[in-house]
Amino acid sequence: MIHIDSLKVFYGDHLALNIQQPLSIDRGDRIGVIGANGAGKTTLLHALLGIVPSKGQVRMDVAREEIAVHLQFNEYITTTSVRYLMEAVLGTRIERHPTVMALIEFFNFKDSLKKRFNQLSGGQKQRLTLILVIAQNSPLVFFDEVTSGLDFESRQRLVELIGEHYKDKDSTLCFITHYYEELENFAEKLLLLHEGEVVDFGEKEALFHKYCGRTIFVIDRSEQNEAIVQNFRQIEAPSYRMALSAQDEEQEKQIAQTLIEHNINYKRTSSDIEIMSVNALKRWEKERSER
Amino acid sequence: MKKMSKQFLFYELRNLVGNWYIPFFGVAFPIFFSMIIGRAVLSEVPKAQVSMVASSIMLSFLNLLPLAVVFLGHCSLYSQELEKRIPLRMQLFGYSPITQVKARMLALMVFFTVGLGVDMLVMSFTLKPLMPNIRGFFIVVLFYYLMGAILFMLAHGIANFFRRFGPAYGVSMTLYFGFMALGGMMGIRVEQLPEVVKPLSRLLPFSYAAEDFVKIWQGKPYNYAPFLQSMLFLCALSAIVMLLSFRYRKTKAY
Repeated sequence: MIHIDSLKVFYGDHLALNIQQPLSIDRGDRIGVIGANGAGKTTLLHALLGIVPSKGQVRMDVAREEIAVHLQFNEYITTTSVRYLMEAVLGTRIERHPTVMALIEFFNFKDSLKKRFNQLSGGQKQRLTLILVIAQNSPLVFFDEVTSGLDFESRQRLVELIGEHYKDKDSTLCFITHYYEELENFAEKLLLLHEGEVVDFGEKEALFHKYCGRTIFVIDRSEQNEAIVQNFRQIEAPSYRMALSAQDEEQEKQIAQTLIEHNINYKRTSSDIEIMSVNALKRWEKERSER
Repeated sequence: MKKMSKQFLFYELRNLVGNWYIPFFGVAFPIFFSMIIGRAVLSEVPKAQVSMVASSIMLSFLNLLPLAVVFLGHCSLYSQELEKRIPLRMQLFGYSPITQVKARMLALMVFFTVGLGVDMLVMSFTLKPLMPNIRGFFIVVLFYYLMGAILFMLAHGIANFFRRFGPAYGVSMTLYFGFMALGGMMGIRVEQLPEVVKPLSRLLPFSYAAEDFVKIWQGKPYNYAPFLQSMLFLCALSAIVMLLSFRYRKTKAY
């Protein structure tokens, strides 16, 4: 659907995006694009949409105007009600658009129709754009920080709703976020960006195996715990946690047994995007410094 | 890309009406101002000339419509929208920049036509101007539409250049009152303007509309050359501003 051979975006003299390795986005993919602020996530989207000038070779099987996009910031006029705004975008009355009627019901948005955009809450504003974006029925949809500005529960609920809506559809979805937990149940592939460059791209499970091993055990960081698990292989983790990597079933059993013996609470997982990305980034930085 | 729908046109119309300063400066303000100035001026005019002066006042204040509705209205609305990146949002929903501009132009034209009709009707009752010659009437109305088209380019250029409401509104307001003053619509007639300002006033079509249109309105012989030159000058100036803004922003539409 989209094949990037190389892609560069400059903001003045600053190289904001520098993709050198081939990337392919296929039909039906559920891709999470992750990275810290300034990693180039939104710049990549803007380059693909032609919003910012870019250099490189990108092949797209879908016309730009067919791509549906939920931008990070979506503003609308405030001089008329949301209903008329939606009808202008749809080019028809809401009642004549069964998909939108269903989406309004699905997102519990009916009461917001008579309000103006500036009278909507943060969550309602996000839902408005979501309804309009989803109603485009596009083969390729980008969601850029769709949950920004929302509280934890609203974020989770919104992602769940999006996931539910697209469950049986073959649209390609790209979810740009810096909230890793949003992607745990949503993304099948991950594109990890840092400082405008690609750290890695691939299947979520494959990336986890590559950087974390078969499974990891996550425990709280403390001096006591560090002493107990010192003989196990530790990988990078956020400062308040420790991650123990198991390469096979035997190692898993040993770690689990030790943790149980010492009454240490743990989480065993074979999918943790945050810890995977921390380790991917560390390895990438090491390799870059050696280049 | 989507074509302009009826709903999109209504959306643009609601957007125009919803911004209070467009109906206020474009429809209510000319009526209000013409009544105040009309009352002051007409009381001092010999009876035989009252209708002619009343016509002159009406035609002069109808000048405010393209200025307020199209120039001020589009400049302020569009700069706000650009600042909020609404045109980009609409483009991503499938409306090309050209379609968006066309819809805005059409909505302005509808609003302008209604406003012109209302203003003419109300002023006909309040000022009691001369009945127009049919040809003269159409020439005058055509002028207002042409002026609207020219001022649309100027407004588009200013809004696109700044892409922020504050500076765009400041510049457009300054020009609005400047055009009014130079066109003899601020209580000082063109011949009463300082000598140094008069050539500038004659360079712009507003002064002709205020001073000479009464002749065209009545169907009297009129030398159109200076007036057409002033129209061409403003048209060229507006086109240059618009094209420079496109060049500056490296875009063809917004």
